[in-house]
Amino acid sequence: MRLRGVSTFGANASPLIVIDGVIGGSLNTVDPNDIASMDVLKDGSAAAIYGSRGSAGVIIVTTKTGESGKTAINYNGSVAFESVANSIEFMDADEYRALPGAVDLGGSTDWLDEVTETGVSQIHNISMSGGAKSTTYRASINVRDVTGVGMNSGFSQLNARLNLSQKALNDRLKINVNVSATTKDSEYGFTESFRYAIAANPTMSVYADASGGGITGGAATGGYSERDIFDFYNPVSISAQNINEGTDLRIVGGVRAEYDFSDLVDGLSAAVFYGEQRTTDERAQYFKKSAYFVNGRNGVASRNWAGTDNKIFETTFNYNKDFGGTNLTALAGYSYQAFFNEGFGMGGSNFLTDAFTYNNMGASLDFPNGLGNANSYANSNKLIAFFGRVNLNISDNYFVSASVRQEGSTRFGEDNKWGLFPAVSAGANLNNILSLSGVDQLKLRASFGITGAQPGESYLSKRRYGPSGSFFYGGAFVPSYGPQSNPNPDLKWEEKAEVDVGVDFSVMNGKLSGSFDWYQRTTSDLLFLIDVPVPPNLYNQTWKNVGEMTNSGIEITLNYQVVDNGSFSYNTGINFATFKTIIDQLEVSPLYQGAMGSPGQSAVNLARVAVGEELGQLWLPVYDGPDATTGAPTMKDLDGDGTFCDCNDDKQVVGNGLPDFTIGWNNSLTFGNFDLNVFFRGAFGHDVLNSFRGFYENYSPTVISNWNVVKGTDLDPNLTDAAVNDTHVESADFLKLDNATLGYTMPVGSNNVGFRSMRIFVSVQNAFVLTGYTGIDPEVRYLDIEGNNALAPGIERRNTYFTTRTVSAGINIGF
Amino acid sequence: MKRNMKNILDKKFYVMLLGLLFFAPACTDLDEELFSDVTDENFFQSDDEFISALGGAYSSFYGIGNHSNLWSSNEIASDEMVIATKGGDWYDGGILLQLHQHNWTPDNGFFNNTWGFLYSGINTANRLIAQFENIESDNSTAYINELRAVRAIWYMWAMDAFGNVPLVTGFSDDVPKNDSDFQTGRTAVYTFVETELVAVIADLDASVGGNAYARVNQATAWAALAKLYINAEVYSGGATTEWAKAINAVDQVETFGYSLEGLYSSNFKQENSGSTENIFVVPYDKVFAQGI
Repeated sequence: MRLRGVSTFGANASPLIVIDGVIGGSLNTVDPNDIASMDVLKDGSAAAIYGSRGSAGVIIVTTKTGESGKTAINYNGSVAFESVANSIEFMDADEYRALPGAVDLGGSTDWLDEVTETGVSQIHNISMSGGAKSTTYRASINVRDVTGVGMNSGFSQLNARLNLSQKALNDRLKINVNVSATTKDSEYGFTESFRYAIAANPTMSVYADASGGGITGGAATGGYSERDIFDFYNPVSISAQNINEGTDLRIVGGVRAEYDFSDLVDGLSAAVFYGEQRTTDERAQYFKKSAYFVNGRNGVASRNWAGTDNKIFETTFNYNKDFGGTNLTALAGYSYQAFFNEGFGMGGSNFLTDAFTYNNMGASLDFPNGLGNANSYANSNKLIAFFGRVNLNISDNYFVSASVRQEGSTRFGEDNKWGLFPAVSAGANLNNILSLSGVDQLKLRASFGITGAQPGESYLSKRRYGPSGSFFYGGAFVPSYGPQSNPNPDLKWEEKAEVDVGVDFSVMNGKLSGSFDWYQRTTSDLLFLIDVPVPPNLYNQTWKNVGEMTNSGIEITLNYQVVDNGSFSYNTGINFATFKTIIDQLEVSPLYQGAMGSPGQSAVNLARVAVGEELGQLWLPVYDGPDATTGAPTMKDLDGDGTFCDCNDDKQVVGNGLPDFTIGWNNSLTFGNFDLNVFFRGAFGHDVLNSFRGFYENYSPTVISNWNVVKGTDLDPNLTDAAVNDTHVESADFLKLDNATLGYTMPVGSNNVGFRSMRIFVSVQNAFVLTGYTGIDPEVRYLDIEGNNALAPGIERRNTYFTTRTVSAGINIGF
Repeated sequence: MKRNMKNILDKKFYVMLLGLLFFAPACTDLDEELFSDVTDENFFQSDDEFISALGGAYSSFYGIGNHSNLWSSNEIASDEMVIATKGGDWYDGGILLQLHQHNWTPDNGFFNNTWGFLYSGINTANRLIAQFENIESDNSTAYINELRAVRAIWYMWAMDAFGNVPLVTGFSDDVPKNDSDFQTGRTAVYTFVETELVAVIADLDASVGGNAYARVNQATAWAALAKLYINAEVYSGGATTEWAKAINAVDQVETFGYSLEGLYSSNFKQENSGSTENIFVVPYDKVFAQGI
């Protein structure tokens, strides 16, 4: 999820999720049926009060609570079917056999089909809520049982949530308690099996009873066929023979006490909040003795455990008073957040039997041989903040607000721990002030705010030592200790200053409403792990504040009620957003990022980041056809020095991975008791580099003899080598039918079934995609998934395997 | 009256509650707490820890066998080794061909890797020399002499590979950033290497094998000097030759009992620690030092 494009080099550009006051939650811990409201804070002023963690926007999730005197039980259940919607098309067995140099292994296999299936999932949610005069409660439990599309993948999850609120002391004291617990048992499958399936030789059979004819088989491989070639293993064998599973636990608890001090000072109240979120992730893997994937290791097992503990303590004072027509609210507070992460793991191979899988690590002969590995770690960090905000509402005509947050992070050096982040905003209700006729709302707003961002790791300012191999001393090996990184005591807060000007309007008695926003974000002191010279540094990379960039755009939202005549209504809404990111300053410019990869192209970078230029540029050579004698691809000499130098100078911008604009288009219709919701989503103006084509769309003897060839109109039999170039960058404009849901609400009032309400629905997600992109998924790639690199957007890597389509049906019942 | 009392009590209660809410938790301590790392503050406490720190100077040598580094750029650029392209495989944007054909460009990563490898070694030696100078240990002086010889060997390689390399001997966070501040010419680096080795050679470990195995001892320093003097003509830009000194250095090496193996390939056996020909080694081990 991403709000307003790119405004940091850091990989963590996702908005902050706040669930019932617990900052930094995961949407996975909330069942959608338990959510009462979600508020999205995009502009710098609104997010400022959440401090550094809200730098990329804030999503505030409030879960449902009970209501006094109203007991309710709700059941929601659904079943869903998920299947492969799109992948990239390679040659089938007959087409492959016709290629020059094809290695015909005699079979005919659709490998992707072999390692995928239709995933079936069930979801059930039961909630009950109610309350007496001063107590309300809501409890819910939900179960998800999901079979994945990938072979041997899926999970079963149990999530329970309890919200309690109690008033006391003449309603002056109000206490809310929220608790949620989630357990999830997962089988992850193996992504490698997809990776090898997509480009596998289609004439290879899945099974082989014996070795021969270029195939290794028989008992040694568990009866699966294998080939002794670079970077390939039988995709079915990987998923079918081996185990990759785990259990996640999430426990979140929060208590908030609010006391009304209006006896002492009129309008004063104070609140204390304490919340804690604990997560533990257990992972276990076992690769069988016969798994060719770990050939020669005689069984490989590993167990890993990782835990996190986040504590948050907040006190706030609130003041709320009307002075004539002016309402003043003020808030002052203190926030303390402590994070602790720890983990341990072990791995070993060489087992006598497969019987233990990962359950008897001591049976691994690697440990007595000194070859097993064991590890553990722990780290912590803290964020401490003082904050205040004042809001003035003058007769509902003018709105002014100012806030400031002084935030400190342990992650910076001694002199740079604290940052000061102010924000102001103002608004005017023009229709009130000017008494405009025919206008229901016309509100003008402007805001400015600065938010900070901290690096994703602790201890970057300190010179740390740790084990770094062994050395020979006194006739024996002793551990060698060395620095772990270049320390940077000067590291400081990344700051994002954001201006937002907007207008909200509503006309025609509310039939047409919408908003318009223009924003500009300037992020300075960008945090990035950048290459540095040795000397004076010990290592060639350091976390530094490296530059500045500006991201600006407009956002338009329009809602129109086309028809509403009781039995039939139609509402349509569209949101439209643009953004553009320019690099203003960079310590090293240009930077080339995002290596294409192995085989043969690991030294080729795909993205260029340079001062004065847009972020997202794909920087590649320009193809000039195959060489007439060798069949190797030739590229144009762009710098005019007479030859193609195969270096960054002989490349140019051949596309941009970031879109010009994105749209969302929602349509909701009701007809009698039927309701239909259709949501389209699209992005336009961006390009995607199709890595599959960059490697496999040619007649290279290496590709044909080891893997398979991508089908496509650009496939040229005269081209016999792979080299990524401008022709592999494709325009990836798309429009998706993201979600369509048809529901029917039963008329329950008139019968005696005892239900308060009942609705049935069918829904489809990712129904279809309109695009000219020939790869797997035309979605915008904000991050390069190899290295989570925000500086190399727009690359579809070979570890994108397929998109899926989900069809589901369900029922909601209220008692 | 009674009612008044209650009001006063109420107010006191409120003020106390307010104070408690605001001041009690107002912790502003932002010191970092470390769990799985050590720092200058809690390291360098025992003799064993000094030895482990010294190991940093030697663990840098393990990069010597890595591909795309000093070894590859030396070998592939000569006729000693060829890395052939197999179709598109091993083409890698032409970087290997560039080495064969001596038409490499500045963005060929092999040279940056080589530079980083050499100067990590130099910087580590500089760092350890600076740290041992500040530490009261019986062995500090001996370690510093050994580290100076280690550093001289790194510099010999750097000067051999790049020529006029920056000569940095201190270690502090405020070292000027510009390499050219330290560039004094190839001959100056050559002189530095010679001077350093000659200065410390008598204080190095005179023994062979045993405790001195895989460490820079006197024989290693003489061997390094021998290589330096053989190439003196190139390193000094044709100004001087040092054939007599080279012969002397080789003679010195022989006094430690080293001799050529009867069978050349026995130097490269898996278990080659008995070789009489290998003078300075980087010992790899399946358990302790897997290397690459």
